[in-house]
Amino acid sequence: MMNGYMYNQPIIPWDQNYPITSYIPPFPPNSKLARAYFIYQRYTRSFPPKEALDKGTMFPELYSPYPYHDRKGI
Amino acid sequence: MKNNERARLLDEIRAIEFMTIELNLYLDTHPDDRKALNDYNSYTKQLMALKDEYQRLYGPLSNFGTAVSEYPWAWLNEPWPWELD
Repeated sequence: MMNGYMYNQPIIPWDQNYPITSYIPPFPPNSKLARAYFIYQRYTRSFPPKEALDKGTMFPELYSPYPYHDRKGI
Repeated sequence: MKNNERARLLDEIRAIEFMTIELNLYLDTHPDDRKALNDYNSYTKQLMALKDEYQRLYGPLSNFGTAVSEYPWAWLNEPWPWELD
């Protein structure tokens, strides 16, 4: 845990049922600026089967639907 | 009434099968995650049991290779699995 840090906010802020605190591991050595990276996923919990099928993922940390906007053109 | 039970069982199969493919994809990149593997095995066993039950009660889920057929050839019996609501 040298260079990593705890991510204390829920990853899905609007979903109170799935608060998650995850450890974000350090970047690998010699990581370069302006390159794309993503965090290595760690399986901790999942949506129940029917909810997962409905949401399109069993992983709460991957569930991020586009917000619904009522106004035209947004 | 009977069809309700059939549709319910098919919904259950769809949901459990979805869990197995999700864990399949996760395990491809995390092959030594024991919890994921245990859950994969557990959902897979559930799925096999559910498919056996469905096929015993209502006929084959697929046109070949998943269930033995009584006489006459059972695959032609409607409704097919995708015709259930």
